[in-house]
Amino acid sequence: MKNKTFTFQRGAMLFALSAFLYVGAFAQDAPKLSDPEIAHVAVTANQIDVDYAAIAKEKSTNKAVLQFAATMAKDHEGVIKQAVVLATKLGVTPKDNAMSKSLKEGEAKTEKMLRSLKGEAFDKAYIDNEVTYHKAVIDAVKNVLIPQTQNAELKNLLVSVEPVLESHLAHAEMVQKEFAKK
Amino acid sequence: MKPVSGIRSSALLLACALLAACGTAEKPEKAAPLYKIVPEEHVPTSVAVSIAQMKFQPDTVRVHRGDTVVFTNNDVVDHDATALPDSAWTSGPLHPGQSWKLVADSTSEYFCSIHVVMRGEVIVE
Repeated sequence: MKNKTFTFQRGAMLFALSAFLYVGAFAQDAPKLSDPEIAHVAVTANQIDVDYAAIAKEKSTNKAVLQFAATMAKDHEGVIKQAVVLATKLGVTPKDNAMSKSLKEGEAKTEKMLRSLKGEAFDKAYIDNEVTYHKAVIDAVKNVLIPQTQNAELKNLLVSVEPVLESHLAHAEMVQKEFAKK
Repeated sequence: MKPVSGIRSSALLLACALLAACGTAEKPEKAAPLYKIVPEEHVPTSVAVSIAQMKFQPDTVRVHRGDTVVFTNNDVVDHDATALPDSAWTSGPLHPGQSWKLVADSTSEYFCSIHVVMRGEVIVE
């Protein structure tokens, strides 16, 4: 049983690591994105974390995990709403692109991995993934999305969202440390 | 009775009478004071705490009992201010742009129960 749990945990870490490397590679290569593409990436990245939170709500009974997931759902849904309002105001139609697609591919793999776990193994994998995912998204926001955004209002929204992501990362790391003590 | 003794006793009586008279004489009235000393009263004031960039700014405020601390959410997501460790007071969810007032009664640490890494303190001096 221990070996099985260890395998699940190692698998979760590998998935999270691959997702991180994938987005990290985007940050390094800095693909040229238009504002409609950046808006699409922003909405996609937020929606993915809302989806992960929904899985946690469905599978976890851990109070700290459920509280964290509720915060993720609430905050990222809020950011999506603001992004949609802004895009509508600016007349920008979010446009699918390679970065959005890679994020969705990463989500599919991670979701499959998370759904294969239960109990403490799920809780740990979910939080580990949240730490890795937020690091990757922060990196992309700081090094790709903000520098390439042309419209000032869209740029401002991304700049104001970055501290939210940093706070989520600190929260996830706090829960992760609690798991490490067990 | 010797004459000398009679003079001495008369002098003693006179001295007693003078002392008695002094004891019952009205004292001169004091002039009314030109000012009155009263204990300094604190006029309640208001202190602002802005919630922005996922922080309480400033994260520590020093106030007097009865002062008002006004929390305003200037961030892009919902926040609250909730007393630690027992939620003795809470603002409830504050949407972006909303404010809430706390009348400071005692020193307390607080946090955002939505984003638990956000902390602050109201110190009542």
